Amino acid sequence: MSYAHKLGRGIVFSIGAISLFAVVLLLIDMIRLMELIKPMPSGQSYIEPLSRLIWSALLAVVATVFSIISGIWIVRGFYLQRSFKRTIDRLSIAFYFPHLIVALYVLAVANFLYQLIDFYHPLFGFLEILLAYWVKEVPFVVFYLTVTYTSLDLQSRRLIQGFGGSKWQQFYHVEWVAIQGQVAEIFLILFAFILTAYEIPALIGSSVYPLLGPTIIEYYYSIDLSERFIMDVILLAVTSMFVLLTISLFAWTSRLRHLNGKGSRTI
Amino acid sequence: MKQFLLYSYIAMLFYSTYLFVTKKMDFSFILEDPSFGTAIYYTVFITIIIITLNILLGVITGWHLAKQEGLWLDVFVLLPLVIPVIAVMGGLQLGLLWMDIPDHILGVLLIHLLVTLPFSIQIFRSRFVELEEEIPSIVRLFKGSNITLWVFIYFPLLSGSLFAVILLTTVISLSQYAITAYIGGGLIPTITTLLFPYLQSSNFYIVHTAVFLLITIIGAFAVLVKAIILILKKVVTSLL
Repeated sequence: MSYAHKLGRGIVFSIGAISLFAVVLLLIDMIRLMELIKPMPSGQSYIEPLSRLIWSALLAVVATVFSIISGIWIVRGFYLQRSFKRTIDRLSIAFYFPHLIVALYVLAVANFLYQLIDFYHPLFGFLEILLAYWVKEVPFVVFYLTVTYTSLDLQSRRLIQGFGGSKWQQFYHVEWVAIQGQVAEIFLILFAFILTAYEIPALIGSSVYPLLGPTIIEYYYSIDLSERFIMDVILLAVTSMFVLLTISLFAWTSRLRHLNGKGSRTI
Repeated sequence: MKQFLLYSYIAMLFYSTYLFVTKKMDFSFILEDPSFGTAIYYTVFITIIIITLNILLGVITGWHLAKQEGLWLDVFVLLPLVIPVIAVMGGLQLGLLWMDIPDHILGVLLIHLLVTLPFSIQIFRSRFVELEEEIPSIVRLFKGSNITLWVFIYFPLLSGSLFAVILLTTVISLSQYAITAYIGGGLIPTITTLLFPYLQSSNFYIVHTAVFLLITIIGAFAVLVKAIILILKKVVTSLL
């Protein structure tokens, strides 16, 4: 292995190890706080942050699934119509806008609409956040899948078509087999990001459905150490779940790669 | 789409000029902020360092990952993205405290690097996967050195990815309010930490000014980077 390859490998393991080490430090912080806090927070204290975690998880799942479905739909449209490159280039403009600016645009449009229809429901705040994430994450999904779609073989689709396969079968046996690993990867990245993101909920968050991101910062800035402890526990649980999911996902996709190398037995 | 964006920005510019002339919008609240100069300094400093590290580390790692596959490589490169950055922030703060460098620029740089580098690696990796595998051997066949390969062959081919990495890194870095404010302990002000409280304001004109400033900074930076990359590409290809 050349020096450059060793360096590349070293960088990959370093960034992963630093992230894991930070989580270990979080665990140490939790143990340290256990010695300082007397008495320990009761189960009742966890209800409020856990309810916010559930709301955030719901929002994250819906926003992620919508973004992925829309992204696949857009890539497929461009891929099948062969006007791929140019349109994808245009979508890259979304990268010029930080999340917080997109959130403010959504807020401005939403406020205009509320004045127009003269009606507001607290749930709309939740939908505004959903919309802001959707607008921002769809281009991310499109870019992630672009490379795979450009390397897909159209002949395989035609072959299935020739044998009387439906459009769904064409998608499932040719495209889905190639993108399923990446879709799972995108799901994890977006879900993890949206679940704990601070900026968008802080700008357009609803007081009726408070989310986890602002709560984490609020608890961390609190002078009450038990609040920091509660947040450490929740974050450690969430992080462990994500790390286990990531390892399982890659174990699954590397097995798939192995199977695909031998030839797909799904058709 | 690009034209639509250009027209909407021009419309925004006219509207901002109108607000400025009618004295409804003014920049005094930002300019008079005592941390304005420091915020500009730290933003420029953080952006330059983060962009440089993202390009250097991203290119090497993207190139490596395009040629080598492995379960643990895939897992480790994705960890900074799937471990919630706020959890990393909580642990990192304790680590920095132990190292006796709390509220320091090093911590801010490290956390900004962790949230941007995986994206840069993926962008370069995708580009290297697209490129012909035979390029290095062809260059060597014609007695070309590593400098010829990277400067005259890879640089023009990677120019699009370079622009994407620089822009994405800047936008992600400029979007980080919570982690910058927390790890920096309020002692490392940036344009984002300065403008974010104004973005939460209920005064429309203040919010408009903050949005206008952020978009103008990013837009001007994107145009500048695009121009620099274009000029460098022309210079390099003319020397070939």
